[in-house]
Amino acid sequence: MTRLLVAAGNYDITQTVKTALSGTYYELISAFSHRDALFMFRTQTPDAVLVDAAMFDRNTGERTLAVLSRELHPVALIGYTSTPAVLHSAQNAVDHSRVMFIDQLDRAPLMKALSEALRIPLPTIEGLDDERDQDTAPKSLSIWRDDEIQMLFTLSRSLLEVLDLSEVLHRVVQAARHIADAEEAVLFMPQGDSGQLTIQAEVGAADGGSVSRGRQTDPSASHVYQTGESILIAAGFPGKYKQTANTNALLYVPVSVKDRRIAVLGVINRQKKTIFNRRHQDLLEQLAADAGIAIENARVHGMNLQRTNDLSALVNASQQINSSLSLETAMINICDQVNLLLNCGRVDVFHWNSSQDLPVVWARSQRAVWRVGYAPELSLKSHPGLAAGLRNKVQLISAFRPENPEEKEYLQSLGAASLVTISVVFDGQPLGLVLAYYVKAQETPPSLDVIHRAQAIGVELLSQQLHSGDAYHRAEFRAADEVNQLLKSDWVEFALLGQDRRSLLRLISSGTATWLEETYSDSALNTFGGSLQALREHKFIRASANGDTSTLGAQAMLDAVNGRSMLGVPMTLQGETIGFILIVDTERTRAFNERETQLAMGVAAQAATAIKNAELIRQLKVSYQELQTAQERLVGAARLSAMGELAGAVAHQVNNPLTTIVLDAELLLLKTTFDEKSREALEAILRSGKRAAAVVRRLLTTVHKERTSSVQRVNVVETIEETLFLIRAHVQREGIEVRSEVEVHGIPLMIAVREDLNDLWLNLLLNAHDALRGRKRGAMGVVVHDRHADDHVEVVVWDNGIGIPPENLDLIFEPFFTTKPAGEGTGLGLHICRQILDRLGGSVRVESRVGTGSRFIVRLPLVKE
Amino acid sequence: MAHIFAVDDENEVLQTVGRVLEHEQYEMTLINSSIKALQLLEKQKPDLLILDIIMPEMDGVTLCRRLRRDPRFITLPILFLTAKGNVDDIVTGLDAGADDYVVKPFELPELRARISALLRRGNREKNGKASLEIGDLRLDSETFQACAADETVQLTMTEHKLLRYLMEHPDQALSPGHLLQAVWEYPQGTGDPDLVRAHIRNLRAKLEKKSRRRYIRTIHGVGYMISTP
Repeated sequence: MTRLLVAAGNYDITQTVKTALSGTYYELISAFSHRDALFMFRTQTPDAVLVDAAMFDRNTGERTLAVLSRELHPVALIGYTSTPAVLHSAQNAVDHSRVMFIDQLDRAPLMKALSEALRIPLPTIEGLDDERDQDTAPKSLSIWRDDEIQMLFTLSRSLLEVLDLSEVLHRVVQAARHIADAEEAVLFMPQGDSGQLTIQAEVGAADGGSVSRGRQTDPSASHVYQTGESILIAAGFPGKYKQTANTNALLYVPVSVKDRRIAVLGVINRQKKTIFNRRHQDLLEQLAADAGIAIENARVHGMNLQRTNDLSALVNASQQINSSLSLETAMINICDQVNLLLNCGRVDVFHWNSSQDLPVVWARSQRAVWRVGYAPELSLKSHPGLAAGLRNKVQLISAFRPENPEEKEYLQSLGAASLVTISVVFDGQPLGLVLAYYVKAQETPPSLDVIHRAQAIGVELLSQQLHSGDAYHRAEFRAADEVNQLLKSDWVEFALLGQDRRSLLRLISSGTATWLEETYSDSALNTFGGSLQALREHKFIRASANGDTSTLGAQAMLDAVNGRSMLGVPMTLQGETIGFILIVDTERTRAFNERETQLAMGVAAQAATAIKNAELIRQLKVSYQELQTAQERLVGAARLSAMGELAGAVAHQVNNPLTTIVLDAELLLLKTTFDEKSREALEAILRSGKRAAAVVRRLLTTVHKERTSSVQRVNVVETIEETLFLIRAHVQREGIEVRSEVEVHGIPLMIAVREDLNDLWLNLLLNAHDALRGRKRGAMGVVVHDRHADDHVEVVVWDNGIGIPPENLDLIFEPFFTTKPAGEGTGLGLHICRQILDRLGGSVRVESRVGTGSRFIVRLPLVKE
Repeated sequence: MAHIFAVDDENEVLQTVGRVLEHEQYEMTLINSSIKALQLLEKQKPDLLILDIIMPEMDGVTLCRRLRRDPRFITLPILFLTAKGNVDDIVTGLDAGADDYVVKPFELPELRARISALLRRGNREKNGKASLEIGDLRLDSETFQACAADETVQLTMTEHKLLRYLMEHPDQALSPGHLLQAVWEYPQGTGDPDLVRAHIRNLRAKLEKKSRRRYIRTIHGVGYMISTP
C-alpha cells in the first residue's frame, strides 16, 4: 500500500481523488487545512502528497506546497490546480524538480502523475529520525501513546469542522474524558453579564450523563480561569486545593484563544481510583488549545448565524408590519411581530400626541400567563360585580352604567367599555371566571350555547391549573382564542377563585385590542414620569423582578403591568418620539439583553414608519372623501344653478300668461254676472291660475340664488321675526295658528349672510306649512333658546301636521326629494336648508311622528361676546 | 283723475293691466317698449309709471335709473312689475329708484292696493308742514329736497315720505314692518323688508355721501331711527 495524503480545503477535491483512486493500491488520508496538512505529513508519513496548489498558510501567506517541498522528510509531491494563474505562481514558488503539477483529477492522469512522482529520486538526509524527534515534534508528543496522538488529531480536526457551539462543547468533553480515561469531563464557561463560570457541557456525571447546565462553578475552576494555570489534584496529593467531596482525582486546564481565557476544561474521577498525571495534563492542554479555536469559531459562527437570523426575522417582521396600510392592522402586526421575536406575554403600543403629556394606548396584544404566586389578584370585596359573576351564569357589566360604579374604574383602567363574565363551575363548586373584555360597548350578553362552550373551555383551563400547577402551552392560547372568537371579545381572561375564596387570580390573558377611535390612556402610567421622560428622550427602559432596572420608575411600572420583566423602546421618527412599545414578560424574570433590545428597537423603528404610513394613508383617505363630497356638492350646485337659470326663464315665460289668466278672471268675476256653471268654470280658471302661480313662486324661492350680500354679524332672532312676518298673514289666512317663543339672553349674533338665514327659516316654515295642508286645528311655530353654555342658539321649527315616516327621515334633505304631488314641490327646500347650515357651521336634526307632527331642531353657532 | 303710464313688452299682460286700470277708472296710456315710453314722457308727465323689468332694447331698471337722473322725473312714482320674482332683480330695481314693486302673476287686490297707495302718497305730501328740521338735516316737502350739512339733494317721492316719517318720529326706532305700513301702506304683516332696506340705503347714499355723517341709525334687532342732536 502506498499512503497518499490529499491536502485540500475544498472537500470536493478530496472526494474526487477518493473516487478516482478507489480500488487501487493507494491508501488515502486527508487534510483540510495548511496546519492540518503539516500535522498529517509529519505524523502519518505518507509516501506521496497531493496538495491543492492554492492552499496556503494563513499566518505567513506561504503556499502549503512550498512549505512541504522544504520539509526534511521528502515525499513525492503533486500540486493540483485547474486555474492557470494559480499554476503559474505555484510553479514559481517551488523547486520544479521536486514537484509535479496536474490540472485534472481523472483516474488516468492522476495515476500517471503519481507513478511519475513516486519515481523521482528523493534526497536522502542523514540523522533524519533524530532531527525529527528533536526539532519538529512538540516535546510533549514524545511521551504520548500512538492511539492518544491519533485521537487528538482526529479530534482537533473534527472539532474545526463543527460549527454548532453546543456540539463543539459536547465533543470537547467527550474527547477530554476519552483521552484522560476519566469518569467525568466538564467544561465551564462564563455566562451572562456577571461573567459567572457555569457548566456549559458535561459528560459522565452521576445523574447518567444528562447535562445540568447553569450549575455554579467550583472555586478550583474559577482559579484556573483567573490565573490560567492548570490544577491537578489527586487523593492524598499535597496542595492548596482542597478535594471536593466524592472526588478522587481532578484535573482542570484553562481554554484560551489568543491569550484570552474563554473556558475551563476539566476531568474528574469520583469512584475510579485512577489519578491524573502530568501526561494527562499535557494531553488535556493540547486538547484545550484546539478546543479554544473550535469554540471561538463556533461562537463567531453562532453569532453570525444569530445575527443573520435576527436580521431575517427583522426583515420578516418589517414586511409583516408594513404589509398593511390600515393603521389597525399595522398595530396588530406590530404587537404580533414583537411577541414573536421576543417571546413575551404582552406588547403595548403607546402613542404620544405632541399636545399630550400622557401617552395613549393604541394597541395591546396579550399572550400572558402568570404563575399562581405572581398572578394579579382582584379582591372580590372591592369588585362586587365580579363577585356577583361567580353566582350568575353570565352577566354583562358596562363601564357606562350607573349600577356598576366599582367596576367602572376597573374597566376604564383596562380601556374596556364592557365586560362579560361567565362563571366556571366544576363539581358544583365555583372554580373561577371567564372574563371577556370589549373596547366597544356591548348591548346584549352572548347566546347560551356560546356561554356553554366558553364555560367548558374555562373548566378545562382552570382545572388544569389546579391539578398540574403551571404547565402552560400553546393549547391554552388556542383555547383562549376560541373563546375570543365565540364571544366576539377583544381579549379574554381566565381567573381562578383563590384558595381563600376572597380573590380572583388572573392566570391567562389573551387577545389583541386597538384603541384608534377611542382615547385610552392608562392612568397607571401617570406616576412613572421618569421612565416616560427617558422614552421621550429616545432611551429604552428595562426592568425585571430581580431588581435589574434602568430607572426606579421602570420598576414601579413593571409592578403596575403585573410583569416579571419589561422592556420599553421608543418609536422615533425624524428625531421625534411618536410613541413607544412596551414589552412585558409576565412569566419569566429575564434581563432583556443587548441583542433583544436591539431587535425591539429595530421593530420599533419599522413600527414608527408603518404608523406614519398608515396615518398618511388615513389622511389621504379622509381628504379623498372630502374631495369626493366636494365634487358631489359641486355637481349638485351646478345642477341647482342650471335649475335656477331654468326656473328664472320658465318663471318669466309662465308668469306673464298667468298674470293675464289670474287678473282677467278676477276682473270678469267682478264685472259680469254669470249663470252658475259659467261662474264655476271661471272660478276654476282663477283657482288653477293661482295654483300654477304658487308653484312657480315656490320654485323661485327654493332655487339657490347668487348672493352679492356680504357676511356680517346677524341677529338670528331678527331674521326669524322677519321671516315670520312675511308668511304669518298668508298662513293665518288658512286658519293655521302661528306661534313663536323666544327665550334668549341678549342678542344672539352670528356671522352669516343675512339672506341665508332668511332662506333657512322661510324654507323650514314653508315646509311646516305644507305639512299642515288640509289639517284641522293646524298649528306651527318657532321656539328659540340660546345655549350660552356652548355658545349656540337652538331654533325649533315645529308643526302638528302629517309627520314624516321613519323611512323618509334620511331622505328629506336630499335634493329633489318630495312627497308632494308632481308639480307642487321642487324637493329643494330642505336641501337648501342643509346647504345653508353647512355654510353656517350649524346642524339640523328632525324629530317626527306620523300623524302627530314634526320638529326641526336647528343649532347655530353664535359669536362669542 | 290720475293718469297712469303702463309699460310692458308683453302685449297680453299690458292689455290685462289696461283692463284693470280701466276697471279702477284711471286714465291710462299703454306702452309696449321703453323707448316709446321715453318719447311719450317727453310730452306728458303721468301721475304714476308702471314698468315691467324685463324688456328688450332697454329694460325697466335702466329706464328707471335714467328717469331718476332727470330732475323732472325724480318724484314720479314708479311701480315695478317683475316676472322673475328674484330678490336680486327686485333689489336692483329698488336701488335704481323705484318706489315699489309687485311680482307677476299678481292678484287684482294687490295691484289695486299698490297703485292707490302710490297715488295717495304723491297727493298727501302737499299737505302738512312744508319743512322739517332736525339738527343740520332739513327736509323741504315742497320741493322734495333734503339739505344735509349744507348739501342739497333731490329725493324721490318715496324717499321723501320715508325720511319725513322718520323725521316726524325722531328718537324712535321704527321697524321695517312699521315703515312698510306707514310709508308704503302695506296691510299689517305683508310687504318685503327689502323694500325698506333698499330705500334706507338710497337715502343714506344721498344724505351721507358728502356730509359723511350718519343721520339714519340702524338699531340692531329693531329698525331705523333719526336722533335729535
